[in-house]
Amino acid sequence: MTYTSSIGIRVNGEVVEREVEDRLTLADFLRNELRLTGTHLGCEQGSCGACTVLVDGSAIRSCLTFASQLNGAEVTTVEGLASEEDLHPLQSAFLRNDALQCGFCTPGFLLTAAEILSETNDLDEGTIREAISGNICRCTGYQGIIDAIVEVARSGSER
Amino acid sequence: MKAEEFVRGQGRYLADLPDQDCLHVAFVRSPHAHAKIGEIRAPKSSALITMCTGVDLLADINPFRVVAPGHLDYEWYPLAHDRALFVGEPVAAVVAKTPYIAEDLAAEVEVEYDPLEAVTNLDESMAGETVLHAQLENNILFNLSVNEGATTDTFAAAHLVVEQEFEYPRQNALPLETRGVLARFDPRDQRYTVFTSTQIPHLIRSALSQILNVNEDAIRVIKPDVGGGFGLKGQLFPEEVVLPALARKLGHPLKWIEDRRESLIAGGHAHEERLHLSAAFDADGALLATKSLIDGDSGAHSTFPFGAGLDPLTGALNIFGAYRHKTAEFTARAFASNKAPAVSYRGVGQIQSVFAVERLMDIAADRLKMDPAELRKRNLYTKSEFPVTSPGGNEFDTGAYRETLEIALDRADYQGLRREQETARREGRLYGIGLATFNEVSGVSIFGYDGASIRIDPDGQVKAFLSTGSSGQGHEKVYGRLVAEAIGISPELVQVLEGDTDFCPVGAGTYASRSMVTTGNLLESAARELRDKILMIGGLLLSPDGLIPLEHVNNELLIADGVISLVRDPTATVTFEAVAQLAHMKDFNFSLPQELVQAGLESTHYEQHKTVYSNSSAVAAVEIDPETAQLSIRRCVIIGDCGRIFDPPTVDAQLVGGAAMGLGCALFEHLRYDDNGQILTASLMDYLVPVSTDIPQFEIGHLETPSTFSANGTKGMGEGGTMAIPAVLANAVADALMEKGLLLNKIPLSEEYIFQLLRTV
Repeated sequence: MTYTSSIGIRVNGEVVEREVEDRLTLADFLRNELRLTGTHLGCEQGSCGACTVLVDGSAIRSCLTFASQLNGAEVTTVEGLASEEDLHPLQSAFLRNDALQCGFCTPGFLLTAAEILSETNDLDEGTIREAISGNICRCTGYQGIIDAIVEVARSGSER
Repeated sequence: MKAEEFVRGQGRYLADLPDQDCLHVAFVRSPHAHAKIGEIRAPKSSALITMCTGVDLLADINPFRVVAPGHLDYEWYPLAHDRALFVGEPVAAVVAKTPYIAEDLAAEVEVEYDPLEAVTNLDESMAGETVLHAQLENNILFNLSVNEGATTDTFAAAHLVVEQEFEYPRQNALPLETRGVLARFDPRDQRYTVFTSTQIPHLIRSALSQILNVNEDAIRVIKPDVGGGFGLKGQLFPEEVVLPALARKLGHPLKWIEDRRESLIAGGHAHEERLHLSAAFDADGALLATKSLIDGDSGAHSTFPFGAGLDPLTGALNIFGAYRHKTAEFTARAFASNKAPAVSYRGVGQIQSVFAVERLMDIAADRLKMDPAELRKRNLYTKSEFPVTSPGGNEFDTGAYRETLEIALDRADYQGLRREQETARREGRLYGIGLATFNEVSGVSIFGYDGASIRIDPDGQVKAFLSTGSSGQGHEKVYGRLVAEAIGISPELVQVLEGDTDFCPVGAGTYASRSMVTTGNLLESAARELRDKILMIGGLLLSPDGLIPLEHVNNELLIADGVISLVRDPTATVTFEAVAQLAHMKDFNFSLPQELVQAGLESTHYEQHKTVYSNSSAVAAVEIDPETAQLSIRRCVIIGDCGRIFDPPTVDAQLVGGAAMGLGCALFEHLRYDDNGQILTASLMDYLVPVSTDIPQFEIGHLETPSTFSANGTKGMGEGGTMAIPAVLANAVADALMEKGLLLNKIPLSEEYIFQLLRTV
């Protein structure tokens, strides 16, 4: 027996209405139903943070959230950060600061950082280091990621 | 630009490939470390499309043998059909419409197991009461001794002999993207297309051709974007065989994405070793001879292409490599156990041997009453001694080992740190300083040749095809720049293509810090050849004398920013794009004198590169809380010498990122099994890797001593940071613990282990 629910959510500004299996995770809904494959799955255990997206402005693990829980919610994925032309300031700062290598963890870090910066620009390196400690990067050693977020916080361009 | 695709979330990793027409595979994996497999019953469900057991698969594949010197080979099958040899070994595959349903069904498959005695450590494996592979007489999968007995006399006459046993744990490279396979079989042209998240596309193709019993041409292996490899994705895995075999049988494309639990229990382990080292010194502290026994626990199987001997042999071949000494002997062995097969992980073999050697040097310094820095300086090769042939027969082209250490000591203010230590000790604080210095083998080409090919289209678009494969190292950017600079055009014209066996030259792939050394050199040769030809055609258009012979084109013509001009008359110019056009198609005013210049702009170079050796030195200062055993890293300086540096940000990123990975190896990473062979670390809550708050500020620097074995002067630079950290932190912790630290002979340096050392009476 398969249980389903009807949901209506806004993803990157667009309203999406679907009938989904109750056990479908938000990550698989975004990736398989909407083909938004920028949200990556690194562990499906809530440990690595690669699947982080914003739900109503808060960073959550989309591998541990069911799509059926989110009726009426507003979801932002990495595909919603940039416009066709312009990168989001965090995306540009990640490029400038060598904040990525293989790129697999990057979307999760970008959305985690977007949440932090949406709350305050008054951030020092230590606070940022603490705030991104729920996300794993195996390539960079984190310094470039921290530098990129510091740069955006200092420029205040997020607000 | 690749990096821009990645920040936009537009990378295309294995799981992102179009899969609307795919069915999905889930694997049934053994819950036992060692068990005889009985009947396997498929669930009675209409949702099950098919189930394939190990026995079923026997009809579709050839058994496979990993054959290499020193290896004892036996038949390997991707699905266990007789006995399961480790927890997580695949015993059957189920196919269903979605991954969710496939996983449900895999959980419902009933397998009759008859559990057997499990071999879970080196001692049990050596005892050999239970032999894992029926085709072998014992559990030895690899055994090689070099120079046996050669050091006996030197040891007998030495002023000082230090001898110590070390243990290095089982670890997992843990790329954030797990593995995955998408396989198609097209009955019209009888060809397989296998997308796999790998570092070695051509080697996968060669193995599949043997196992699936078809020509190499019948298989196209494609590597999409790879979300980290770190060595783990450098071998053939069972799933890479099962999916294409089943796709053909079913007549349907199939997809499988590994989950993190599968990855941690069956996706390849590494590093587990016991090392027994002896070193002989004279009264002045000069190293005379070394003797090494390295035993690896290589798990249940020898994996293709490197085999079970990979870690112990790589360590043994390069052990004590940075230190001058006359004689050396070693034995490297690998033993089978009921644990996941050993594969490669950044710092292969050397992360263990550098840790053990550097600990031994500190123990020797203590016995000789010498400062550890002085003992190292006395024994490290200096710049003027190169080229050097090591006692094991390795040829080191160039190096500045002592100089690298001196720079690291200066940068760290070693004397200042020692003064700080004195103060700390007076205050009862546990403050330690550690050193590590070593050379690292890179650019290894044990699988023959590598290839690089450049093709320029009539509109001047340049495509570079390579046998290597990036998994985040930035090949696209670095190779693009290399080609652009060598030709004299904008990098925007250059597209770098890797990881498609239908288009890229045959070669060994990316591992052992080899890409810039191997294909980097080949790409530059190919680009220079094309530049000469472009200049020659440019000369035909510009020079009043017509053809300028090839040997003179670089004197008489220039190309910069895509514009070709005459040296003697810079106003005479023609664009690169115009030349590219005329190299392919004649126009009304110009056609190539084909007896002198062949049409087309293509160049391909193949070569087997000589091994090159980079080197690094590190200095760390740490403090340990005497009550809680908590470790704080105060300083960590790493100086690397990877020869000529072509792209400084990439080299920095590899050094720092590598060091962060080494920090995980040093402090946290430990795959643990219980006495029954059950794995205890199957999630990221149990297998810990460093997060942002764990990483100290690494202070890095470089020395550039160009290689003479590689035309571009480069040496490998992907692993020095990783190798340095377990050794340098172990020595710093041991130094902090003073006489109790002399007992430190294990990794990881967990608080539990440090606490245990602190409490030693």
